[in-house]
Amino acid sequence: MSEIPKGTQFVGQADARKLHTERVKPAETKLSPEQQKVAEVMQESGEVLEKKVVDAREEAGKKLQGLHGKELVDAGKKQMVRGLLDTVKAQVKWAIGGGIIGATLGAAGSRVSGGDMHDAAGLLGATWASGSAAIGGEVSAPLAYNKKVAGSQELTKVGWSDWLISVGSRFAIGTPITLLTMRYLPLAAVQLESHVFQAILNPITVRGLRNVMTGLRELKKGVSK
Amino acid sequence: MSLKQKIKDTTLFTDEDKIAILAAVDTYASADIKALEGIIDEFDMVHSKAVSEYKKSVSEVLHDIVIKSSLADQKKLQRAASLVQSGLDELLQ
Repeated sequence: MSEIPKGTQFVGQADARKLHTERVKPAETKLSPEQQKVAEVMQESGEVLEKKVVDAREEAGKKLQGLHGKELVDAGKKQMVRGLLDTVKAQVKWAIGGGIIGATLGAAGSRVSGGDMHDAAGLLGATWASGSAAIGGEVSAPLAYNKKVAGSQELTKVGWSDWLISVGSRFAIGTPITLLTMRYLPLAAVQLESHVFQAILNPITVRGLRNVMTGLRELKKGVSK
Repeated sequence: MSLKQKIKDTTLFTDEDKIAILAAVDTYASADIKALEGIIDEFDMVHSKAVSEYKKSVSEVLHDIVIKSSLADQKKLQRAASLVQSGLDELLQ
């Protein structure tokens, strides 16, 4: 048997010497014109929405601080911080909606037929990236929070995979970062992380993101060549 | 809708704030109660309008894509558009 040259790559074998992004052919990651249009509108309108909500929150915060009642004044003071939190949350959403999605969709659409698992992986990646960008992630949002939200009768059911991603990502991402956070970051950062992770890691949000991602991917697949 | 229900439903307050305000709301002066109701109404109106406008923009572009596509593609694209819209509904609820 002849010797196989070192570094030979077999058919179907992942090339571990390259980054994932390098392994994906450029043509496969390109957005279709339809996806491009939707991504642009999501991004532009998302920024407008974000600004309007943050402005309204700050305005309400000022007025609340003018009232009597400690709870109202406290809630008013929080609005400035919540404005920031909502901005982070919104950025996470719009980044996934308009940007990160674009980078993953082309490759996902052409390389993975099923979709859901890639969506899950993509979402976890996006979550990780955005969570890290928003000062890591103290994942204090307890399981009880999800049960309260998703178990409510007014809400439609979430799939098992949404739960899996939600709970799994909390443990996988959360534990080491929680330890770091407790060790190095101030309380404000902990609150920020908690809010962001509650917002993006509850199963309803996971399902919403999955639907947006799947829909955008199918937008490309749905157009005949 | 009663003020207490408005406090429960609004996205202006955190859950912790809602609990604290609901517990104390009966002790507030009538002028503060009226002002609080006005603040919630105004915020909720702006929020709801901004969300509707966002959804409308995305829906319009999706609708445009579907109607401009070939008949053969329309069914698949409509499904894709519906998925995006339902996802956004959940993200922005």
